[in-house]
Amino acid sequence: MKYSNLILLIISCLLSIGSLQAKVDISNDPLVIVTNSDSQLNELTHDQLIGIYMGRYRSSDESTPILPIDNEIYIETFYKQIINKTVPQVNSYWARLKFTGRDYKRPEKLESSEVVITSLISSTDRISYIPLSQVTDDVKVIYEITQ
Amino acid sequence: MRSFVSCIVCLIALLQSVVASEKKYTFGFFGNLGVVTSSSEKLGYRGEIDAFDAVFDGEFDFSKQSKFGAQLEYQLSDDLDFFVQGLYRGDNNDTFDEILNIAFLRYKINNQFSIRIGRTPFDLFLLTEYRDVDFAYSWAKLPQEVYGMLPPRHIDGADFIYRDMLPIGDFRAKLTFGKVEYPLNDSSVIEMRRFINASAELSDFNWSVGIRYSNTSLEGLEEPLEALRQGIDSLNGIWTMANTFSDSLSTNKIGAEYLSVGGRYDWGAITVYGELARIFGEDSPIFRGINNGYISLLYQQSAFQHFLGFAFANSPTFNASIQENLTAPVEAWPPEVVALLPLVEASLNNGLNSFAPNQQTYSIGTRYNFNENIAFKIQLDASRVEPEGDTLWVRSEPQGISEPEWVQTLFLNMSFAY
Repeated sequence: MKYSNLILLIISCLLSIGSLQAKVDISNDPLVIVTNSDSQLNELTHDQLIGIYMGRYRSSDESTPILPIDNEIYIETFYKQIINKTVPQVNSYWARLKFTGRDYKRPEKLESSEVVITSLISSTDRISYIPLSQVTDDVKVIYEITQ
Repeated sequence: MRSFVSCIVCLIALLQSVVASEKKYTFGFFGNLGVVTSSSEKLGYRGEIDAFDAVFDGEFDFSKQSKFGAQLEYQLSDDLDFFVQGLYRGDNNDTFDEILNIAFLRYKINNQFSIRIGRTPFDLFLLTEYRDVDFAYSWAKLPQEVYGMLPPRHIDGADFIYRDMLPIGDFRAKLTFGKVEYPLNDSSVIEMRRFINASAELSDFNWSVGIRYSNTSLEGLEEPLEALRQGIDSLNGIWTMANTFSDSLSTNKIGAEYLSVGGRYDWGAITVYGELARIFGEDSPIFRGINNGYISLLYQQSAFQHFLGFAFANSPTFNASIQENLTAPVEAWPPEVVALLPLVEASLNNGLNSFAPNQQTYSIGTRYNFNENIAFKIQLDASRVEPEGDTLWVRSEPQGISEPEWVQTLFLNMSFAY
């Protein structure tokens, strides 16, 4: 066991550093799931939301396609709140599917709420998440994420 | 190493140029840069049974854990797409045929059914499909006891996939037909002809269970076993079992079956992985079956994931018992023949136990997610290897070990996926 002391020392250091990591910032402004205000989609369940964002559902009712979009600004909070996973963990999940040739499409990632809303306005089959305070008349709320 | 870097640069350049020209294309790449060192002077770490060289005490090896993969997916129509992936593994895949890891045409019959034709991922056990996508799992390496014995990466054939969203989770069933080839050593290739695999998986984001069954016949063992068979032939007239064993080694195919049951469950920050597998051999002295499995406990702490693991492989070992099965009483043989019998017996046992791993490994390690696409990993394995159970290792001396050997192996990795 010539490496055991070394490994224990390294793991102890890593544990100490890990405990100093910043906690996930949970805002008082809740994230909501939004879509084009003209979309026929009016509500989602929590399970449907997870299924759509993890590539399992392609639609809420197996007829209307839904394209999920990630909002880069709030992606860490979003996945922490809906499935209690970090973005690297979500990326590991997608890596398993993507690099084995499975037929799952990862959500497109856009860089800000403004870009997300512009994308939603252009099509009625897209959904994404933004803080409630940033909701405009062009989009409608179909689900509010409770912490 | 130079060819490794050249391979990376060429693949990235090629894929980026293609992607830039057409939105129907998507591409990605993944890889691992790793170093491994080991503690034994008697048994060298080789990772998988098809690796030709090994890491002994005090040596550092950068090729065993290092790999780079790149892939391209082209949407030909709403129902038809093409997928190709190249994978360069630092240890021993050099030819174009070996680097071409996946290449298939997929036709989606409807939302539930699809068919893939071409070179598809080998899917024998729970993690086999993504064994080379290191970023996709927490460990620095997969349990050698389960994944080290079967090095193939792909199947040339076709598979039919059924997928449905059930109330309790995502169901996926697959039936695969094809042929598999992998090198056993510098001059021999093992073929799995008429390879048939059936698998079923049920999963949610926080858990998954799967069962896989495969049936095939192994061919191509005659040449590597020829020396052993000739050795047994020379015992004709001395050992009562010589004819039987010689005949059984002359067969040009060995039936084999593989069964695996495994799964994963998340309890918040804690995840448990477990798998039990069984490899069945069909009436062959060289391939008598293996029971193997592993269990691993993982704990998520902020950007870190710490893990413990235990893995095992048990196989029936062969003992020729030549001295108990002589064609005439031992007194009837010349002393020089009698003196050689223990050596001959040991040599025969070594040969016939070539595919009989017997070992256990305890693992401890940590993964650190540096950012969304890069992770660092460290893992220490302590393996107890039994005499005549060192299949997964390279011996420094031909006679192998006579007592159980503890081997510590340390892995340091940087894994990435984009």
